[in-house]
Amino acid sequence: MKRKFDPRRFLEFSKELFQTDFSNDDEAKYRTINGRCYYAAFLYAIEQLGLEPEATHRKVQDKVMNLDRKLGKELTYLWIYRLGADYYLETPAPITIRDREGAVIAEKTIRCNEEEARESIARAERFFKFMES
Amino acid sequence: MEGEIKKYESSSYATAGPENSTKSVITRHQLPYHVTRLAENELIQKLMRSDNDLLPHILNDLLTQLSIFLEDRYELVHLGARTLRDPEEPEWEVIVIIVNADFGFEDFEHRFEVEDKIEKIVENVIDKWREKVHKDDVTKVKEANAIISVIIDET
Repeated sequence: MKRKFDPRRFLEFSKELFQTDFSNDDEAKYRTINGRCYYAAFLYAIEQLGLEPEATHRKVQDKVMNLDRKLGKELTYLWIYRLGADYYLETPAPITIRDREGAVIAEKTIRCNEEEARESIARAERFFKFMES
Repeated sequence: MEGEIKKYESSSYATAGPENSTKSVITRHQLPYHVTRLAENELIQKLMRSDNDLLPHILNDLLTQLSIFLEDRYELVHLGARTLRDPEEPEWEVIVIIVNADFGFEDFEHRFEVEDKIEKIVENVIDKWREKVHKDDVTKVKEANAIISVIIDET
């Protein structure tokens, strides 16, 4: 008999993980939380919007943004923190915007730290709250 | 279709751009003022190549309205736009407007409150474009809405 995994469990698991003390490997914990919080929201959106299970990041983002930008905004933040968690091994990692002369005019810093993991959890909670309402 | 270039005008360009005494009509290959000033080169190249001729104008209006909103409320405001890719889906490019300001967030709730106000501005700009374009172009507005995100960070 098939069982269906509820993606919201990724968020619950992330919250438990956040409380768990790994003493010397907290960054791995925070990166895992950032990744799982994104997939909790991403997979839940696929389910709720009736998309095919193999829907791309782009497709989900398009649908969510055109459904409600507040919802889309949370998914975008979670996506960026997941990119940081999965691909930016050096932190802090600034996502910079430079002018034509090469000067930085704006930046968002990816940290993969406790504060960012807490933020991912808060954003995933908000995402579910909006989605369920 | 070349030769039948539809002309649109960024609604805020006439007041925020350098030619504020005259109305500027922007064609497909002429990027509006705030875009040329605040978008990274890679994004500018993307906009020049894009089939979505509304995209630069919508982005321009967003940058203009966000500047007005932020400069009214904060001292240290910096913003710009760039593309961001997911290595799992490299052909998909998201346009990210990054906003830095002295927000002085007290907690997440305060931060979310500011973000929601910013999203409201984005929604208003998108809604205005949705209303003013020909019905054939509504999909271009939807596309712009889906790929433009605003991300904030403290200065």
